Amino acid sequence: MNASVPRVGSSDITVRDLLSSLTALHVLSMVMTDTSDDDAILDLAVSALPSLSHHCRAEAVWLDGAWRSVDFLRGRVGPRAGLEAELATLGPAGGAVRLRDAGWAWAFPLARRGGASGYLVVGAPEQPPEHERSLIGALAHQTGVALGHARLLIRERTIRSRLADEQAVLRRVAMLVAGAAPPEEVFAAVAAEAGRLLDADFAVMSRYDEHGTATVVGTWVASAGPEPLPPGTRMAREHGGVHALVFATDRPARIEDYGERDGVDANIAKQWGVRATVGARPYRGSTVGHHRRRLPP
Amino acid sequence: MTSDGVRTALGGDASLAAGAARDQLDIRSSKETYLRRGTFSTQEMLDFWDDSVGAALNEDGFPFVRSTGETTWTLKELPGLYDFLTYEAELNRFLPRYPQVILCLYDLDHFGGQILVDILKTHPKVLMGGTVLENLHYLEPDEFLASRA
Repeated sequence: MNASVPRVGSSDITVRDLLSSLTALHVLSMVMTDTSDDDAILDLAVSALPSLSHHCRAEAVWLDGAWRSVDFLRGRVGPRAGLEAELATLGPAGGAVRLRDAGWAWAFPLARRGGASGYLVVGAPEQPPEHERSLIGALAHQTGVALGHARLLIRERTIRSRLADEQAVLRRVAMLVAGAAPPEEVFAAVAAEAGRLLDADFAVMSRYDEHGTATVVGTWVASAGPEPLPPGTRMAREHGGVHALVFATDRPARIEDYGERDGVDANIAKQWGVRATVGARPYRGSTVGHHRRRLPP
Repeated sequence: MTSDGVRTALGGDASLAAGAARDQLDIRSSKETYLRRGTFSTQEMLDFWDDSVGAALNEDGFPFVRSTGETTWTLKELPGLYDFLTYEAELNRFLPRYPQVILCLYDLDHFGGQILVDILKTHPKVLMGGTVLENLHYLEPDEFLASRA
């Protein structure tokens, strides 16, 4: 130590360092909670660790069943082979793990309630002081809270955006109807709006007769080209497609796999490479969106 | 941004322009301050502050000095992190020598958690997102240096 630096009691420094670390951790958690990106949150947490512990370094981050690589200003934390089996046996409190290069290693749990689930794995040449372990535990907890908050925020934004889209769709269709547009134009618009809202490859609106046969009255295709189900196409109820399911149950229906099915729906699906279809009954008819990829739940 | 770039950006503000004309506002680049000897040195920078602030108060007759240091240059011309944090801690010792306020600017999008935590430890007050956060337990320079020894 520099001779010009006045002597300060070592225990006093430890206490002040700990208190100032707690204050810093509090502010760091505010910054992390203001961040909506997983990588940025993990970067802040991993890079902060050396300032909270003079003995430990972050070794790995296990999040939602996978290793996360974290590149920060002065280093990189990546996957650690052989740890997964040990992590699988740990409970929500975390616990000791073995690392080849460390005399002591611990998996600190990232909070899992409603958000992230995983561990921040930390190593040191030997067991660190209790107060450092406590700080790292708090850092991991705050990181998990920030990750959970970020995901909640993204979910909320997605829902809000979807609701706004749906309201806009209703408004556009209502304006079309109010403008006394011809029925075929309204039906085509409904199919188009439903298709866009569902991010479908094509969509149709159909009308049921009393026996359950469906007749296409409006259709929309995402890309230019021929329409798989042009207006006027009739689909018999017994063919077992989405139209028949909606008619039979009076509820929204979906088909994820057309493998063994037959009928107009299935033939069109196979011909056009449709993987999944979803349909719902607005009023005495149905709107059906067709996807060439797997649908979200 | 260069010093001239900052002046140009502030050009529309009449009060600042008037201040600049009376040498009330002084803008220096990192190469004229932190890196004026080519590399960063805590003592060199403290000497710079001492000279500049002392001259403003004693020679130019201003009663109070407000200074701000933008730190993004450290990402390109990286001094040892330890050196820079030592400087930040030492700055606290320099502050009471003159009637002044110094605001250190850190772009949270560019600095990681380590520097954020260490900065919080060595600063008595932090202005973040429009809120002043007081750190009653901030480390004095001696304590910070001793805690790193």
